[in-house]
Amino acid sequence: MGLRGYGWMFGGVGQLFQQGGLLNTVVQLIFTIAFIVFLFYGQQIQSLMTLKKIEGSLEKIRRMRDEGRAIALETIKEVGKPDRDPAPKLDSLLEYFMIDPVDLDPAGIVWKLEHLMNVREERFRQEIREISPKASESELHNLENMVEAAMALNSIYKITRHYYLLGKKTMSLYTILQLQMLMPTIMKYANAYMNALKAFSKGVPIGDGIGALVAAKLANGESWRRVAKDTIAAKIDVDGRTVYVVKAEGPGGNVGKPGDAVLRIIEEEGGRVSSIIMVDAALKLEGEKTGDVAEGIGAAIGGVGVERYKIEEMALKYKIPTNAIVIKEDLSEAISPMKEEIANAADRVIEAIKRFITDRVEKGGVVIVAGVGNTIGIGQ
Amino acid sequence: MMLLGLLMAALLFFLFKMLMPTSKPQESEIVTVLECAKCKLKEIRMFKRGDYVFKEEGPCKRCGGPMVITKIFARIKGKVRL
Repeated sequence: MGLRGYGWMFGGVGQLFQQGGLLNTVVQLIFTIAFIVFLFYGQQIQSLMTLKKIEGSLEKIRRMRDEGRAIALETIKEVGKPDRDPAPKLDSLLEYFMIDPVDLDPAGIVWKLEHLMNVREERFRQEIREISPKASESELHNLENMVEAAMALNSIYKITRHYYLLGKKTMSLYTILQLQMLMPTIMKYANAYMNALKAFSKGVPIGDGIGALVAAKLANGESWRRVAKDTIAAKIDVDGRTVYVVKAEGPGGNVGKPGDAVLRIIEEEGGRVSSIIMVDAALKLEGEKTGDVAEGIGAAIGGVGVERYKIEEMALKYKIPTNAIVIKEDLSEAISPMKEEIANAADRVIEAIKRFITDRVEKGGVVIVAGVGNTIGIGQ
Repeated sequence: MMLLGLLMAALLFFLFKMLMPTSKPQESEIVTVLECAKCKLKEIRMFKRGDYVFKEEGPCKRCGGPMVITKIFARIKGKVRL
């Protein structure tokens, strides 16, 4: 038939759109109304559309939070074998909080923070023990970490919901837009905590554990002794140098007290320590490769800063150089099951440590190697 | 003119769909690598609750030596290599 056959149809449409035609008038009217509506209500329409998008993401976070709670509850029942229903206790733990010490007069705040952290840890452990009476010590650590991940998911959901409802209440485009801009990052963190929760429930090593893995591999087969709370050390020889290897006691989920451990070893050695080498996971920048190893100076240790403060103080007191070897990974990789490329980095780090010791420490010298991080799923 | 406008709109729609980044989450699995302390025979299997690095498992199939867990990691599902 060809295009010519449709000529009657396009001809008809053309007539409708003629100057003064009915359809032309209707379309013009629609455009004018739309223009006026968008002129006066554009911002509100944009706000409503953005809120709808945020609502979808918030619903996903809520599902993750509920799934996390269900996994935690199931694992506590399976591992801890409680006598009564642990759900009410778990729900109260999900709302658990800690008030930071006042920082108006910052002198001595580190010790106040340490005290608070210790009290929190002890209280939290007691609560978990109450609902998991049959769990072993390492299972108890894993359950603690798992409930903390569930707490993080609960907090993410509640904070996001707070800003969503605030935006909805005030219809402030700027509040809503800020939340929308942060949503991809919030979703990434929520997913990471969900992965962490699953890893903790099974006792799988996480990316943050690479420091502990390096320490365990470096002193594999040696005898370990406890040097601080939940922290152990082994003494090895590397080409005529005495090396103290420090890590958190595994295989339960635990970061130990590397600061206290380093402090004790320095004091035992009367301050005659040639170097401290700290191995930890470090946050990578976008574009950097996961599992890349980098060397630098300083105390490589995360957390609130208490342990880092102790190591820096001791290093300054005895003028001990502090060196760092870090393994690059992003936040979600740090709290998710350890990736293959991160696990493979351990051997490269051990080579770097041995090279550093033989190149920079004189024979007969003493070195402390601290493998920092959560030792879940990593024994010794 | 109207037909041209419709065609342009369709073209823009498909271009937009094509250029939008699509990220499908890759499913991962947790595996445990075991190594014989004597003959270095390597074995790989799926992770089981209770596994941890440096845990000693049953005897080696080849020499009867102790099998030790040397690695536990997450990898993309379906990748088979040691």
